[in-house]
Amino acid sequence: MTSVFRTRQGLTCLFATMICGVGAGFYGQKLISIPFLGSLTMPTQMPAPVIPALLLCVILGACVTGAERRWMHASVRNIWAHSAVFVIILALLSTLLCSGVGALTNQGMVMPGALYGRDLAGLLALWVLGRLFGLFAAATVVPVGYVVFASAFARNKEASFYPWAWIMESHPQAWMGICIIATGIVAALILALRRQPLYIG
Amino acid sequence: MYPLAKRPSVWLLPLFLVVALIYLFSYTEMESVRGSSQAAVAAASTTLLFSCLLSSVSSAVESSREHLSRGVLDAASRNYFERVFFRLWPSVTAGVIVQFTSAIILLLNSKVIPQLSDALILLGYVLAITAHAAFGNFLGQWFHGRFSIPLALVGSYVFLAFTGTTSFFPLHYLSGMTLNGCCMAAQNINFHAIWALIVFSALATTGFIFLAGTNRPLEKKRNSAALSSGHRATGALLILASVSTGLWLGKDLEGIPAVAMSDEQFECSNTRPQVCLNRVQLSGGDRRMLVAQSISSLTKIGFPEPQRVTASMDTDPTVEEDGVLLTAFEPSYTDEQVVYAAASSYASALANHLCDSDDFDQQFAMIQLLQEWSTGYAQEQVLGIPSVGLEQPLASLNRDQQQTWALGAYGSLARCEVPAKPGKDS
Repeated sequence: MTSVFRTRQGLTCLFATMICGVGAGFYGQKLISIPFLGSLTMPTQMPAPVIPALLLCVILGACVTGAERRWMHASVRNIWAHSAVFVIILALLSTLLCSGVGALTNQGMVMPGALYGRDLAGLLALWVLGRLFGLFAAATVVPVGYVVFASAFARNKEASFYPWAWIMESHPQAWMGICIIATGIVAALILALRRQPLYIG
Repeated sequence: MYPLAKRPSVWLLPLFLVVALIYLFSYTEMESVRGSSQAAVAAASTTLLFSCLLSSVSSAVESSREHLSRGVLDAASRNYFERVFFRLWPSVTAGVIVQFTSAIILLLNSKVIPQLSDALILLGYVLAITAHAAFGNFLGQWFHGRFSIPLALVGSYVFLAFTGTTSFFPLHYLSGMTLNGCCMAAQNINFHAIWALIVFSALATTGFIFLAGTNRPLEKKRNSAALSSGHRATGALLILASVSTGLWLGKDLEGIPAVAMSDEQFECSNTRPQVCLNRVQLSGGDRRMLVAQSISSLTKIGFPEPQRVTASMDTDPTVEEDGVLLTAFEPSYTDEQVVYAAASSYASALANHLCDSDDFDQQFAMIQLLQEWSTGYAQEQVLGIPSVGLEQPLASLNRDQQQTWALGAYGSLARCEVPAKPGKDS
């Protein structure tokens, strides 16, 4: 347990988990403008928790990747499972912190937590999918690229978001987001069972 | 240094170029830049999102590669600034290619020859892209690639995306993306916005280069540890100076980086009334006669006759006091839109000088009705398009009763009175 925590720069991750969770709790109900299409009559805002969720995803992903070496794939220890448990625990902790801060700041407990939890889980699922396809250290670019792409191309002509741009929706019940999270869970299970990505470059 | 074929910017360029072009063609109204090269070059700022991200992420990849291999690949045969130059130029060039491609496409759509002043906007773009490359290089030197590459993307994205959305307007102009608010046909770009971008980007680039490393690459493996406190202080001060100078240069700017063209830039016709349009507005063809005919159709039935009709945004005159009527005119307007804009000038003038009373809603409702009627009437008179869709009970009145109501309503509203609803007194 100590090894899992230390090798993955647990203190850095814990600190980031707390900062991002508290930040998301404070701004859980806020919307932030997406600037690029401000002149068009289309929705131009996205929920604020996207940004702390993205930052935490990048930090967790980088710390976990830093703890894994290719020769460890043959190790007796299941490092993929260890990493998955490490990330899940910190993601849950961050979501709980977000809910707690949301409740304390009278923003409600369920909404900020649910929204932040969905965003964080969805982005981590994209990161795991990147790992599954052998991206290793570059896997954290997948969730960042998704957010950038979604904020630029999310809107359709009917002034609403495309279903694939679920992260821009200000309510947590986005079916596409839930599908991505489910896919991420399956990908994490595959990695834990195979102990190696589908493709190794 | 790596050979060019192995530079990340080379294989990232096609991807970013395609996405930037899809974005440009999906969300930019090409008609809005017709006749103005300045508006065209400024509108290209929307693709800074892609060009800056490209330069930031590719320089982070290059820099983190060097961070890992320091002392092996990059011996101190070149001085620090040479090494930075050779590391960054492919990333900057790739970003510039994306940015200039979108600028060229928009310039082709503007159908005018670019002016020398447009080069200043392009210089601003080049410097903004360089600043993002320097930022990526800084992250790559300080952190491992697994941190620096995604953080370069997140950092550049957050800066580009959210500086333009605060209510503190000078901050908008540091990233450059807000330049796409420029310009309507009667406006020029406000060069304070460009200077804010240029100075901020140049100073920030220098600051990040200072913070990124030293001239002694072999001295210590960890770059941050190799930096002297003076070096760090210089870099931090330069970044602080870049923000404060950029904000100071943009202190008088508001949400749109444009200033109205002066009256001297408008050419007036010999028609009655005189119609004054500028060269951008005339680039779609000289339709001053059409504007004059539209206004005349209303003055013939009793609306006050202006001496001059202008599409300037520089002043705020009134027909009654100055004899000047303001209209809107864009070179992309169809004839129908030209007549509509000209005929709605009377109602627009009333809306611009809404009286200070408790009847705002009623005043506004009457102004809208007046606009609906006057535009329909002018289009019927000038273009022969039958007026349809007029609201009841105005539509149920005969032509003379409608004219009487419209004139009476205009007079009442000009005197700050709320006119009677159509049909009540007619």
